[in-house]
Amino acid sequence: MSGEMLLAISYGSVMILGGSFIWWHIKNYYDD
Amino acid sequence: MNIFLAALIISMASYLAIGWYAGRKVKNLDDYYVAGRNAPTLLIVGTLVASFMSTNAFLGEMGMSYQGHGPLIVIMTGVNCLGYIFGALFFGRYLRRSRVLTVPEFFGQRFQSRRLQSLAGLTIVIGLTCYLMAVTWGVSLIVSKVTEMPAWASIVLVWIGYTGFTLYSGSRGVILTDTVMFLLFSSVALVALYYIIQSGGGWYVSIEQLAVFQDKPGIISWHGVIGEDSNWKTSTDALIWALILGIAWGIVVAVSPWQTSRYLMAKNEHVVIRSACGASIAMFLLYLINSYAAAAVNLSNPNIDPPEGVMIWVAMNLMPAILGAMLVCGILAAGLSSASTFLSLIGFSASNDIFQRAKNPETQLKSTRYTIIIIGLVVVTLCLILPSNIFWITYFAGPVFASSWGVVAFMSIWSSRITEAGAFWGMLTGFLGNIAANLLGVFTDVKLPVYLDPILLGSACSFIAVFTVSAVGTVSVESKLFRERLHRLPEKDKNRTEIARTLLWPKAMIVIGLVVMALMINFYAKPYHYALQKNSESQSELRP
Repeated sequence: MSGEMLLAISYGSVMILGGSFIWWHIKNYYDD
Repeated sequence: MNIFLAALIISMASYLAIGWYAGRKVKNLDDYYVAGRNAPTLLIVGTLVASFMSTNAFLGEMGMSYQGHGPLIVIMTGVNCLGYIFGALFFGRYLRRSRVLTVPEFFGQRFQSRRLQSLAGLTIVIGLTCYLMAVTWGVSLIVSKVTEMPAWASIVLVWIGYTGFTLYSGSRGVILTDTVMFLLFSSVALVALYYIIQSGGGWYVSIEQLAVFQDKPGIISWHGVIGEDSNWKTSTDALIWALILGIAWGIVVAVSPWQTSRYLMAKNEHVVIRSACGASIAMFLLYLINSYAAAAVNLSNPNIDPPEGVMIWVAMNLMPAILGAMLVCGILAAGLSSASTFLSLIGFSASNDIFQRAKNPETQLKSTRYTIIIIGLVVVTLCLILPSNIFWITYFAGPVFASSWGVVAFMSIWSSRITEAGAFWGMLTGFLGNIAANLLGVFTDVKLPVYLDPILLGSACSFIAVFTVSAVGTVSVESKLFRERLHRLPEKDKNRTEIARTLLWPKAMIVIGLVVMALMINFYAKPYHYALQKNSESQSELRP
């Protein structure tokens, strides 16, 4: 895989991982 | 009168009008310091991003992208964005629960320490005054360039502008003007991208040409321009630099006063989390657009000097006059919004944290306004008498809070063992460690490796001081109780409707992440490699 492809995937992944973490956190912290 | 000056006057007048409108609603200290603690998500997102993105983003970082280092800015931003998430979840919402007026006051109450509050206030006054001077110089430089006004007149005009709408309305006005400015510079950045790409021959042609751009080879490769003439010799050096700076600036957005103080204004805890998601999304998209837009300007003119003037050149040469004037106003807005936030924070800290707060709220309100005037006068005088090329003072101005406050801020929430003395010495050593490392780089030939960045070095000093000093002391009962109170979840934040609304934001982040990933693969990575392939094929055909 090229560096540019890896950059594209990892840049998008930042939002995906960040969003998933917040979603999980809210569910566990506020929604219990 | 040229169109840039006219647009500038109209935009300044609009900000003053908004400030006047917001100022009429200021009735008490809460209104002035923390916008009545009633701000919705849009206003907090607006003020978070507008305070963070100053002229540096539109001049310095876009100049860097123009020179061929845009991909590094993108990598750095990817890491930096996460600072909003961790900052809001692990510090910001607890800060809001304390219901203080300023962040130094939070430290003061958390550790029952007046000296810690004064020290935190002092770091704000020193650090943000330097930052405010840098922004004032940056904005006035643009004003004098596009309007041909003398430098001193531009400095005074800019100072009158941001002081005007900050003084009367305090935070109520600042968050409104910040949001208007955020919307302005975000939309003009998009419009500018369109014109830049069009003048480069369209999206695919631009990518193909940049992929094989001879003047700055590798300008849009994943690591940008590297080699003997670049700041980074290898792609690994470049990657390490971007990741470490990303972490360092992530700590800045997580704990710095001009970011976290915005959470004190949020209507509730859910607004804190939603606005952190919103700010993260906005930064994620804006830096991506700006970095590639600045790189693409090379196809129209690869010799802009200084490179920091790239967007001003775009405004004056690639866009229709009226849109160009709006772009200049957008760049100025980025600077003015940071300036107004800095000025208000310095005023609040000087009058509330360094000096004792007056018992009568009306007297305190008056004294805060007088303090803002005095500080504004000091800043404008310094800007007029000091040479504006002493940009080195800005090296430490922003990031110093990451070193000074980072460890203490997170440990004040998550550690039951940190003592008042530990927090005090941790903050002081972090501050001094950062400044010493920066001065070493400015006044000597010593070049620290990237993993010893002043932000990280200062943070390490702070951590060691907190750890060792706290180990020999005891935590007071009041501090312990205060921390326990911070961890009590407010009943009203358990509301199901609010939770459902908050959950929409992380879902939006996931969708945006997927869309950006798909767009970057199809409109950047694939055409980039297609262009390289085409180029190598044509090269081999030319060979005998």
